[in-house]
Amino acid sequence: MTGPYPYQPENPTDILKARARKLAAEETLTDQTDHFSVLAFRLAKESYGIELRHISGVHLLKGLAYIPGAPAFILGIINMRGRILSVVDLKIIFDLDNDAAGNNGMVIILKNVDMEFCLAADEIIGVHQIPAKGITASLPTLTGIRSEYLLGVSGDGMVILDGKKLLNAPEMRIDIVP
Amino acid sequence: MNQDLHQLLMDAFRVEAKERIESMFLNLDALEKSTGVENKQKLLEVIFREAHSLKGAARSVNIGPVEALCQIMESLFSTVKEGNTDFSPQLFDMLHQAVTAIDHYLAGDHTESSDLLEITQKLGQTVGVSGVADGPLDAGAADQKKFKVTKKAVAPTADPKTQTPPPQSPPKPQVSDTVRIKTAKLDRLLLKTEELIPVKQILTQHQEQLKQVRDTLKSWAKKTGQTLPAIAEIVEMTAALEQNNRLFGSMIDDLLEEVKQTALLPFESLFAVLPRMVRDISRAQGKIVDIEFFGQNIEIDKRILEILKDPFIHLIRNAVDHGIETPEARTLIGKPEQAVIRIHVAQSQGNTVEISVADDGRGLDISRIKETAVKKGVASTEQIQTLNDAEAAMLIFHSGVSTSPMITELSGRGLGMAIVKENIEGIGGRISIENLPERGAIFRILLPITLSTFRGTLIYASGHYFIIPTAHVIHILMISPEDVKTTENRPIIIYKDTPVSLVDLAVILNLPRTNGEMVKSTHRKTAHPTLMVSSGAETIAVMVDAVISEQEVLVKNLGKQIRRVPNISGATILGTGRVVPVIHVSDLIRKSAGSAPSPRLTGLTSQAAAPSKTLLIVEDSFTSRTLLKNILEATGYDVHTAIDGQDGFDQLKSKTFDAVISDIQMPRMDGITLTRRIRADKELSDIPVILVTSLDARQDRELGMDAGANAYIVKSSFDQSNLLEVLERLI
Repeated sequence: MTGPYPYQPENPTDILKARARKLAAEETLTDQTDHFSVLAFRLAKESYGIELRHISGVHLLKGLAYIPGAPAFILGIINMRGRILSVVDLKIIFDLDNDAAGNNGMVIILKNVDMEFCLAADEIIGVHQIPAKGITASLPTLTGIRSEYLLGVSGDGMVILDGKKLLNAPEMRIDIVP
Repeated sequence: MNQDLHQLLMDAFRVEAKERIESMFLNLDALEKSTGVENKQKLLEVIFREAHSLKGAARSVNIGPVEALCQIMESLFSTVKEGNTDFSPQLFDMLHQAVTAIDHYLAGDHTESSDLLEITQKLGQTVGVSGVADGPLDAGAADQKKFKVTKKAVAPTADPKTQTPPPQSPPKPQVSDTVRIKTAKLDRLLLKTEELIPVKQILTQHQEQLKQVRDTLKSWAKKTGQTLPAIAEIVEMTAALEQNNRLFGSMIDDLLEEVKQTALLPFESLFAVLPRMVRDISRAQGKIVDIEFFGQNIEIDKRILEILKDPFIHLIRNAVDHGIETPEARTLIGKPEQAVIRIHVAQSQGNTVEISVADDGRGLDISRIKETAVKKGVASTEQIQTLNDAEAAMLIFHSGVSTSPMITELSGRGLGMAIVKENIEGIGGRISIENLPERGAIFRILLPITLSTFRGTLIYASGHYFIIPTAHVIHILMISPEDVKTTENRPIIIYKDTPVSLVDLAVILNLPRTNGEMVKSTHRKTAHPTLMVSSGAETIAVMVDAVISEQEVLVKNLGKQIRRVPNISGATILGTGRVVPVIHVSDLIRKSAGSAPSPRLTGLTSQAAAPSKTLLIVEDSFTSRTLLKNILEATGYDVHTAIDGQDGFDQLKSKTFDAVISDIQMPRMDGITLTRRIRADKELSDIPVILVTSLDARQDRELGMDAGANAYIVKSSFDQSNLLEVLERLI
């Protein structure tokens, strides 16, 4: 049995700063080949993609419980095999039309070491191999909050989301003390 | 060496080193305090062994500098054991530094070894290991020989291999009766076992359904005089199912209990970090503080220990920073220079543990606490006067109330204690304070040993299910519209001759109806089930749409993304697999009292949320402020409050508001001046200002209008529809 590790660095701020710098560094497409794999999905009739390496699963969205007091972009929580996961509605964050049919039928689970949540999606399109060269940095029309989480736009107009940024964004951590 | 093997060894080494370092810290501390010769011998032996083993381990993974330092420490301990050297406080400090240096070195990336080398040299000089003290320090394995020679010279008989252990510490058995398991594995095991609870519940539900079918069939048979072989079969099956279910249920309960017991850890592991912390903080503040532990071998759920970590750090920091005086101040009032913090852990009845954290400092400054509480708007002056000292002491658990006059690096921000209470209550614990003015403060914490299931009442409101912990539910009644009275525009009911404020859960939680619209009014046309819910001394009546059942629930957190939201403490999974949020009762009561400031929303939230109009209420009276806030919030406005004109103006400069509602007579800056300043300000001049006041003098009204107010509402003629109408017109 090991107890809590009593290590307290001389200056934790330095460590945190270094970590923040590392996290804030521009995401690059690190695929060794010239392609990388994304899961394509539909949100309010637009197609979006997110790199497979950030995804730990895809499920039907069911049994959603509303959490009062959480920001509007939190649709609620679901039961994922005994664990509880929160569901994020990108349509609210990106200010997309929320009346489209097939509303939020699926969830895509995003995960890294210390964060895990689901993105609601209207439909899962499938896994695509995207040539790294075919990505344009961004479209001038995608401004504001949406461009924050963008990796780029693929040749066929799919908006590629920056999974790493989404997972590490401080806005995605809900800590509202009453 | 094979790279994989090296990595494996390094992983193992880190785990081992961590434990040995912890043990060295603990035992060094104990050694410094212990008095009896026998006891000292015993502790010394332990530290000696730890240093020796760490040295060996470091050698096997080729970490020279650590090996060298352990070697010196080992030599030092053997000379002490021989009685050739005595421990001085300086030596203890050095040893602490040495262990800290090793710890940092191992935690870091091995580049900053200067600390380690420095302390190695310093210790080397103290021990008189000439080879180290004189020569340039190459902490590698090349020094091995030198050390060995020197050690023999200093302590010829102290070779650990040949030495017979002292009789009071018998050698440990070679075959251990414990195994090492990764904590993550244990966590998974616990999670899987807990998942059996909903399965048990759903089987019970099936059993009940089957019984109903059986009864229907039986009564059909009776009525018609017919019978079917299937009926007898069903009767038999039901009985068998019932029996198996009972067995299965108790097996699950037993299994869960056993698994939980497996995951118990002694408090020791929580306390391990505290002596160092106390040492560091008190040194930094020029205070002399000792910390003592009693009952640290008592075991408790590992998850509870993890949750307790932050509260304990806050409690201890708080004690050193606020409670304990400087040595000079202590001498002056006849206390010993060295202050002491004592932590007692005791197993109280059954499944609970009582912990007390006591310091012998100056105790809590009740008058200052009261003052701050009023200033921060936690309570009104009138409310404060009714509080006795014990109740007033509890105010420090409100965020924003701190007894420290200054914000220091450590405390004084008034957040720490709120976190302490929150964390402890979150796991079903309770905290109270015994304040002994000038003699110290004792914090008492009662905790369950295991994070256990509790009874929850499942309710339904506005299309959503919630669990209210049954421990907080005193009574469930049906309340019809004629039972509801109104005081100060707030609905109340009379319960046992006492007025209790009534809230509608759907309203207070802002629950969207299934069709998306918000429930706005507490006025209902028919009788509704209402739960009398209490926390501490406060009780409110909570109206819901339906009370469904009472059942065993296991609270889980809301996932990694949601650390905290108001009014919800976690969620549980029902037998059907449905997720249900669990109500945070004390949050709910606080919110219904209106003293909760509006939630801090993140930047994203305010952009993402539907744009509701933001209002600023400037009002010095706590009651009026709360009343206005409640009315306006219930109408769907985002309401902020300020306690006087100056505060209001500051807030206006830092945030955008759609309108200002202000009192006239206020301390520091009155409403008229505030209005003038708003009109004179370039950015603010267009904001609608409504003055609400008890003054119904024409003169004041003219003064207000002259200053530039858009509307003027007199409190005596005040009714909410008037205010809402005016607001709607203006924004």
